[in-house]
Amino acid sequence: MDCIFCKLIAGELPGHKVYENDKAMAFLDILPISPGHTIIVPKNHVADVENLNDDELCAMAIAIKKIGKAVMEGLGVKGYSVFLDNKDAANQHVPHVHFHLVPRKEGDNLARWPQTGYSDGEAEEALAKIIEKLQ
Amino acid sequence: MCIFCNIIIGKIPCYKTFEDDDVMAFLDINPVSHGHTLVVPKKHFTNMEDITEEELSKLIKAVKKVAYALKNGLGAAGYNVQLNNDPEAGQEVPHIHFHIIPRRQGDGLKIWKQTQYNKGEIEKVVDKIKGRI
Repeated sequence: MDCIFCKLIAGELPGHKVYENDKAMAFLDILPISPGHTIIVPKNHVADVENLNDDELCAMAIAIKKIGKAVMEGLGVKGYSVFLDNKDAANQHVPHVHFHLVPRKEGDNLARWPQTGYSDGEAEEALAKIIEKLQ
Repeated sequence: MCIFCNIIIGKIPCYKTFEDDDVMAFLDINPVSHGHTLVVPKKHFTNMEDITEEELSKLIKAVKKVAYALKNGLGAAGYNVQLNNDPEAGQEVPHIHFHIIPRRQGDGLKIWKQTQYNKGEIEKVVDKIKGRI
């Protein structure tokens, strides 16, 4: 077992567990964006969202909802951001699918990525390509 | 009325990518990258505190489905799923929504800067969170 998250789940590496249910587990990121930054993982080794089954995905989402409430109450923050980076190109560094939950404070200077616009026809083109794969 | 509720009932036009009984997805008109999609529940829920577990499950399953189509339809190398919960986290529309952002290798979009805990700090933080679950 080479996966660092699998080792944390199995207790082979020490971690700071905040929550677990039957399919998901959550522990603190030791290199936090802000204090309380939590990682939520499925207990089974699943590389990415494409390989995650619906039960595992829903268990992770429900864990986020519970942890988010606890983070706000316990740490006295008024909001949090959730993100999942799927695949290397999207900054996924551990190939065991995971959500990040990052407690937020006003003025924390965590900026959203710059937004752009569409030129004429570009949105329609993107839309058609996406819809084709949803058929 | 909420801008997303107006989009859902068709009062405001959108580039709709997906819809079922409970969820709708449409393109963000100010995308981080082309194909950037917002996924929303059709019922108005403000945030994670407000939405039920059942509705959240429907929403996240739709995210997975739409993300698959985004990645394959647009030939993206990966994608990010993001949710900002409450105004302090940058939530600009008070109707819960996930962003799906298609990504390309080397597009320069970086994760936020990470720091470290001082000695003993992490144990205090974990206790504060666990105490509320």
